[in-house]
Amino acid sequence: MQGATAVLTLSGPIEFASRTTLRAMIDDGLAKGQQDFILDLQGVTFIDSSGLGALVACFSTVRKQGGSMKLVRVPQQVYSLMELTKLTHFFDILDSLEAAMPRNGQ
Amino acid sequence: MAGESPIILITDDTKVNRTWVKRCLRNRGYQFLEAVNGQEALETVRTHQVDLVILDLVMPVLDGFAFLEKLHADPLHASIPVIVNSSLADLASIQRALTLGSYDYFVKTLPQEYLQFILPLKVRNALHAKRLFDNLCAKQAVLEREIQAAGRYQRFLLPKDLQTTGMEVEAFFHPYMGVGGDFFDFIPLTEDKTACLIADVSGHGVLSAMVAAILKPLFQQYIRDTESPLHTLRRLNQNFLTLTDDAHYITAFAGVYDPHRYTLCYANAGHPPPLYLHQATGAIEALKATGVFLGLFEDAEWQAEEAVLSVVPEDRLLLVTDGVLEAQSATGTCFGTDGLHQMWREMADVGVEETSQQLWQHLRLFTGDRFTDDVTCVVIRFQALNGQRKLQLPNDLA
Repeated sequence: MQGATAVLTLSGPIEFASRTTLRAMIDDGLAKGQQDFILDLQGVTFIDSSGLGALVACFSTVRKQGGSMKLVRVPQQVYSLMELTKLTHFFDILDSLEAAMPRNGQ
Repeated sequence: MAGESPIILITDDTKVNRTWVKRCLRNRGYQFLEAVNGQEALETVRTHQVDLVILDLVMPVLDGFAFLEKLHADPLHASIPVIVNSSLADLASIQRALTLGSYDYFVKTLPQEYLQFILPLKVRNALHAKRLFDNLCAKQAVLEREIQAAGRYQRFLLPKDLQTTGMEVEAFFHPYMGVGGDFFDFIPLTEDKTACLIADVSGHGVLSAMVAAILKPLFQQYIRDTESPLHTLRRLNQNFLTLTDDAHYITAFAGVYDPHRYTLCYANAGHPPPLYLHQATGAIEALKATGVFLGLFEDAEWQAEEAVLSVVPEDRLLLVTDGVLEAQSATGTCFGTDGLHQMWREMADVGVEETSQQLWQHLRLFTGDRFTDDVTCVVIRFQALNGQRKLQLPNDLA
């Protein structure tokens, strides 16, 4: 699995109480040697500033280890908060899982 | 536990039983007290140091069940473990005694040689649990005292005198855990200018409060050096990049108000947009982020801009931290941006001090006084200097 892209599906609220779950998922992936992550946010019902912070923190960790993190199917509420905090510039935000997956032969 | 020798209260209406329990536990360094019913046991617990109660259930005056209920309703003594010792072997009694908070249970009908072995074990475990609990409470008490003291220091860091040229300012700061990661400050600069900062360190508690405390001297130095909100935030980003780990970041709004030119120059690093209220029209202008959070992105990546707002005297500015926007009602609804906009508009004609008080009262009512984050709010009313109202301002910063 070295270097493989991990697709993580997030659901429910991402807030202070659930932020550690996200962190654990990423740390787990990194421990398994995964470097590139695609986060499917379609099922996310709500994000607050703690949740957003957790997302950015994970992004920062992944990048420091030479990996990447893409977000797909970002719900409007999540997108609005990211826009409000100017974070849309930093994340690769894509409409579909297919668009985020590395193409064959790459 | 007070001394080296734990004190066990044996409660049983039969002397033979009390003596027998004592015999089972002798030569183990325990001291014993005795009570003949629940009422006497309650009085003993309240007047003596007791580390463990061994309790009979069927007793005159006050039975074991009633004793358990009364003991656990008394916060000072509820943590004393109780081992129920009864002739009632039916499941319903055992279940009831355990639901009422007893630590352990054994029945008198068990063979004596078995009890002689099992009872000391149960007692040792219960006393061990009590000792751990007492230690934890003692440590917690020290921690709480320190947090209370730290809270006083933190309040000391906040500006007390909010007198500034050309601005009337009121503010409140309510940390969620005694200390918090919110911070605000007002610093006088040259030519009557005033710098303001509101910031929120992610998380709450001691670590966030430490970061917030560091902000004060840094902000003061950088804003005096540069008089530029943007360059100040950039320097703060550099500092926090090396100080904080991946999980911590800071949102901050920094501004410099010039009361002669009626301009507010600002930069906003991912902080909830301050709300500028135009008195003439009742319109609210959100001073949106001009850059991202501090402390997570390298200098080369950290992009932000400075913006200039033309201020009209009597217009107002409301600065909050996300604890206000994310304050939740009992049903889980967020106070939110819409809620804040509405309140802010409604209070356009209320005095600054009263606005600040009403906002806090409103938040308390909305949340039922249950907060999950630090809450900070700064209310500013811009004033005309020398009684002159300047409606259109020269913008020589352009």
